[in-house]
Amino acid sequence: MKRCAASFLCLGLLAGCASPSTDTVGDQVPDWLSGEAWNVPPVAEIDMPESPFLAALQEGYVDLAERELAEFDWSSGARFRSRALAAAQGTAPLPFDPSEQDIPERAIAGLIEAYVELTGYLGSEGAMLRAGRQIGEAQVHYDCWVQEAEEGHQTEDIDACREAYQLMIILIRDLAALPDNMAVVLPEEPGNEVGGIELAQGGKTITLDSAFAAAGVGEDFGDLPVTESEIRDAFAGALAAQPKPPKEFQLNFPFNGTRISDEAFEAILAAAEEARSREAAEVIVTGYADLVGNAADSLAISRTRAERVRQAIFWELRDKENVTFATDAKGERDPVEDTARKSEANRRVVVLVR
Amino acid sequence: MQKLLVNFVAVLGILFSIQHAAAADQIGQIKVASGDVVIERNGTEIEAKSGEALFEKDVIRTGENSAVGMTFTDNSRVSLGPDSKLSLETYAYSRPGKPNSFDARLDRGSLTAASGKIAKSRPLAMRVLMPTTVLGVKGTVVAARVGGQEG
Repeated sequence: MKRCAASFLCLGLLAGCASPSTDTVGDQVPDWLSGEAWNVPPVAEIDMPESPFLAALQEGYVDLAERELAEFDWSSGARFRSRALAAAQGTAPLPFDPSEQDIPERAIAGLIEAYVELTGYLGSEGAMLRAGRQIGEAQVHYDCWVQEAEEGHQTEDIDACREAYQLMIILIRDLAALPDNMAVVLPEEPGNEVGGIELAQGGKTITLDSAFAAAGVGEDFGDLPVTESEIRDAFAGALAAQPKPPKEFQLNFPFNGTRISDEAFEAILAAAEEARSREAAEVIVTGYADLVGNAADSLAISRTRAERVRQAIFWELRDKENVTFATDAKGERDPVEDTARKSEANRRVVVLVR
Repeated sequence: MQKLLVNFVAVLGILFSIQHAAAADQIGQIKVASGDVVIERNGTEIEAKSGEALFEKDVIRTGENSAVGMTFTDNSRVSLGPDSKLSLETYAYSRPGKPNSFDARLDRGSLTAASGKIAKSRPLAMRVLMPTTVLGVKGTVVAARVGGQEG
């Protein structure tokens, strides 16, 4: 903290008093000898960045700079001021690398361990989303610890910075990990648009309606920022076992006919191919008719259409095991075209492969 | 002899009706099963293989490094990751006089669920019941977990 006991002495022994600062703000290398480099209040007054991480850095480094300057440690004050300024302007300074600092042998191991853990969190998008503010605070305490360890003569200050860092990192470990109990919306798939989920717990409700919107449940009930890669990891086993979405094929028939056209046969081949690509495939064939003629005849012809299609698919899959077939006839029910006239669209067989 | 024949026909009839009732109540099917996956049904355990039928009230359990994928008659799909337990508590789809509903209870582990026609038929008809929380599926693909990291 007190790198130079008094400003006069410090100014007299400039070269030996402080290690050179490597911090930069844009292209500008701060000159800690200038009055500007020690002028902290304007930095404190810059509007806080929206990012909780950068805001924590700005706040924390301003505080450190003021403490150093109050003790007439001009170079450390300038160093932390320039870090606060960088954060306020949207560029996060990296934490001090202990291997690049002049740190006594006895203090280095603990700092390297902390540096590795802290930079791990800084590089984790998910941890930064959930614990950005706390990671910023931890970085400030850590840099304070490095600074004091480098000076090496004020044990109380070293301990205070280290303990503050350690308390914060314990909190971060908890916040950064995904909670044990949680729910998340996955991206929509064709035909299954995102409608969202509603979580209800103890009279409270959370609605999630976009891909990768998540919430903790149970003790951690509340919105939860997550990244796609975290979710893909956390649910890797279940995602890999997710069955393929069911697929539908449609064939149309001539008026009063049950003959399978070349075009309809293409759909049969495609449905068979789809069934072949699935484990324990189910082929569900449903026949329909248009609304011309009497209902009993329509039902009969829709049944014949469905049965012909089933037989054709069955033949294509004759060497495939573990396939189940079902047929259904709807006759004039569920027309796709609302007309009592002849309708090719209504004369159809739908094959659902699941 | 005639009595014997009558009995035989009666037994056949009963067998047929049991089979028919069971077939009518099938709600889904196991599609993918890897590792240690069992279905608990009426107090017995059945090894869950691809193609195995699923019924209302079945409980599906996966072991370590295991997973299972299921489809249901409304085209919804549910999969479980390792160390999971899911109970198919309520399932009604296109049953006369009964509203569509699908309630599955996730006691532990991880799940993904893609909604089908039940979820589309009315709001919150498909739900995943978690120990402290009810997850209502409005019509989408979701993932949920109870009890932490995948093992």
